[in-house]
Amino acid sequence: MSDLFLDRDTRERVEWDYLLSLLEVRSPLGLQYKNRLKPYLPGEEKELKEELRRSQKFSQFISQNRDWLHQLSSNLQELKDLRNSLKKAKEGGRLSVTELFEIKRFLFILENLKGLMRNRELSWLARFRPKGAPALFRILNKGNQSPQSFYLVDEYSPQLKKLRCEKLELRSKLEQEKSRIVEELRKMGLEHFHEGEITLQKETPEASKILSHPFFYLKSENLHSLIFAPRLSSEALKWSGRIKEIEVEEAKREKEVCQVLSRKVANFAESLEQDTERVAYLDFLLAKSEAALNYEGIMPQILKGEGKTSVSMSNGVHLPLALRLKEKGYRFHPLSIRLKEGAALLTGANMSGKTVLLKTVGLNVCLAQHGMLVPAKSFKLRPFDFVFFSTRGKEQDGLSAFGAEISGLKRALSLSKKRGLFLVDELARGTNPKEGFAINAAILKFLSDTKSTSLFTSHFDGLARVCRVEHWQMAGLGNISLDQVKLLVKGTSEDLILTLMEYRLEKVKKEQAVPHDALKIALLLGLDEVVIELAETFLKKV
Amino acid sequence: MRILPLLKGYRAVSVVGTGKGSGKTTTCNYILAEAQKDRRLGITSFGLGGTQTPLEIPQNSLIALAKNCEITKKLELLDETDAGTPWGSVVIGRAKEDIQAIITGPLCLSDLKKIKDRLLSLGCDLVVIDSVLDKKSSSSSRVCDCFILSAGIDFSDRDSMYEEIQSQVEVLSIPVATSLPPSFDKHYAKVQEKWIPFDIKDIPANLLLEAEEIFWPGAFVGGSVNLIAGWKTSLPVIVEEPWQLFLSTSAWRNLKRDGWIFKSCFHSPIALVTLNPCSSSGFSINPREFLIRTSEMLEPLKVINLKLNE
Repeated sequence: MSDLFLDRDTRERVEWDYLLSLLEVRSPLGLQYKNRLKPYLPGEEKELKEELRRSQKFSQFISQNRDWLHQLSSNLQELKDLRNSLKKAKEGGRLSVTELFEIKRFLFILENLKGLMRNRELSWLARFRPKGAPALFRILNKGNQSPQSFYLVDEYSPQLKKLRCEKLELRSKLEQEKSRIVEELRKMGLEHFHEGEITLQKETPEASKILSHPFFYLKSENLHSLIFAPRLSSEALKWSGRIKEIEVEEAKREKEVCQVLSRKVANFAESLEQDTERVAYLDFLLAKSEAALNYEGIMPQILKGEGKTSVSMSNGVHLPLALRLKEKGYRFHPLSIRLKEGAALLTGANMSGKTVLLKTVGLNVCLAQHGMLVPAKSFKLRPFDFVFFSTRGKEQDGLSAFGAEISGLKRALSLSKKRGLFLVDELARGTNPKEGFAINAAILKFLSDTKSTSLFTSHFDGLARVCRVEHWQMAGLGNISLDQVKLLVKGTSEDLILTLMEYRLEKVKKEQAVPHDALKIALLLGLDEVVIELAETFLKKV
Repeated sequence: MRILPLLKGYRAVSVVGTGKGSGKTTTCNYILAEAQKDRRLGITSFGLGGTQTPLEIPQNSLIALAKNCEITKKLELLDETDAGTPWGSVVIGRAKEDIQAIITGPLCLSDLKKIKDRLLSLGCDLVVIDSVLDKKSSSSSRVCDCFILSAGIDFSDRDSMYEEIQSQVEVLSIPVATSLPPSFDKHYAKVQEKWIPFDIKDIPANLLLEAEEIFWPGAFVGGSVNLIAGWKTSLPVIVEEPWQLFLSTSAWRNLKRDGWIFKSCFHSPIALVTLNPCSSSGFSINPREFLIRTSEMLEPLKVINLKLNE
């Protein structure tokens, strides 16, 4: 994710991270792809269109091929990130047995994925089909092992085979020696020879008997018990010593085999790294296409070249908010707006959805520019260099909330030569109204003369007229009077607000005062009617 | 004395101990030696196991262990799991020869359960889980069908040793509750057959009087005793599993004396108790006396001294 395209605060405000969390990748490779996701910027419209087309086609394909989806999903879940092992092999390092096993499993999964991707309906995705490395797989699948398991089989080295055969033979002889000891013990009525020793309680007839037995010696003792070990024949001692030597030699040979196999892996490392990128993309493509199916995303139309329209959204949804509302049993009211290059003003009552509209535009622009389908009826976009969302936030870095707001805006304005999307929510609401108005007017005016597209929300009267910018208004409670609200209210009712509020956007054609619905909202939220009436009196005097 | 007949019908057995050097790995080795001819074995360790005595793993057994354990090259590697340890993720392999090894297995209960299930799905007849130190959570019914308690003698004096063993056995074999709460993530009180959730820091007065049973989520520790002090005694307290009772011997005795009854929602039975009469520091007690006294104390539980085959 490019910080330039979407700074940390904007990410948080449009809930981009929450949205990404809805994309369920299957493998660590897919997760890494998701974490370093980059937007398509102006000039990359062609690539963006291709990516969006892939998302749309893949969504359609998986919706019709559920079994295929299940197979793809279970294969992707098995994938590990082996880039460190590949790098190690390329640098001449020796891979361990488990690393070789992981590579073999990876190759096995690649073959499965290759098979799945050969589906005729997916020919348009051929560029992302993993190539695999069947030759390397054959090398790692020597001997009589299953395609999914790995062992340094004897076939890798005649010397290793010889050593293992000798060890096996000696172990078998030692086993016979052990059987002889167990038989001797059985003759004495003792049957508990374990972990190479036998423990007997002191001053028992068995202990006295075994003490004088030539096959056993006293290995150790404690206050109550004697611990005996078998006295091995000189031949058996030799075998035992030889086994130890063989094990040292065997370990050396095993390392040599690992080194040889590592060199073979190194020959295929680059191609496997490319496959890693392909399957990482495939995993992410699956995650975003599956999510788009759930939220019924549509393919945005990408506008190219010069033109008036920057963003045109019809029935757009802010997905994180829609999901939260759904959990509470409410429905998100889809929003529509068309923004042109330059600045526009959005007014509306408190709680009428102005901020939600800004967030919806911001998030859906991000979705589209990252190659994802958009939850809307239709969505047109001329890509931006960056998206910036300003709102009165918390105090930070030693600055007051106003200070932090202005500081963020200053950083964004320095990029005003680029094509940005400025979403500014009630700028300077925390300062005195006169200067707040002036700051709003100045920045609106400044941005209306740039290549950027800006949408400001505000409660200040007359801003649109002073700045001569396009003016939108949320319908809100415009169609209901304060007296009607008084009649409806019987105590606190947030639900009543949701019922009465019209989350509809209207274009303001002539100069119109911003809605004065704060008293209605306060009343609906349960503020004492006596206070409301006093406020009305003061309002008339102002 | 054979252990395997006592494990008949069980597919996963955990070996838990009273402490370090209580003979857990030795007990595992006895099972592995007995079972190698007629059972397909799966072996893992809950944490770093067998630090004093290595596990003796028979050829063809399946082992689940951290991938950076030295012995992985002696295995035909079959699967890699998501269970993480500081020694790398846990892999499963088939022993290509008899192996002596210290192994590290999964570190948390949920991973242990997944690995036990995977070992069974790979065709094991019996999964043996070696535990570390005095960790009792691997006795959870989520990971085993029964467990073996290995008792050692690393205690300050002999009388407290017997008392400690007895209290551990009592705790791990508390009775199973007949009625279960709707979930295991909050406190509940049962009033007239209904489970009512409550905040332990603000218990409604009526619950103090009317509760017939209470359910305690998570671990019940020494400090929890103070939180239930206001309830009428002899009230059954239900925990999810017996190992979640983290109580010292004296705290357990005091609660029993005051009439408190503990039950669990689920449990695995104790299949047997094994004894190790030698401490890791070299101190030992009379093995026969240890066996006789412990057997009498834990009657009808089966108690055996593996070293003496009694």
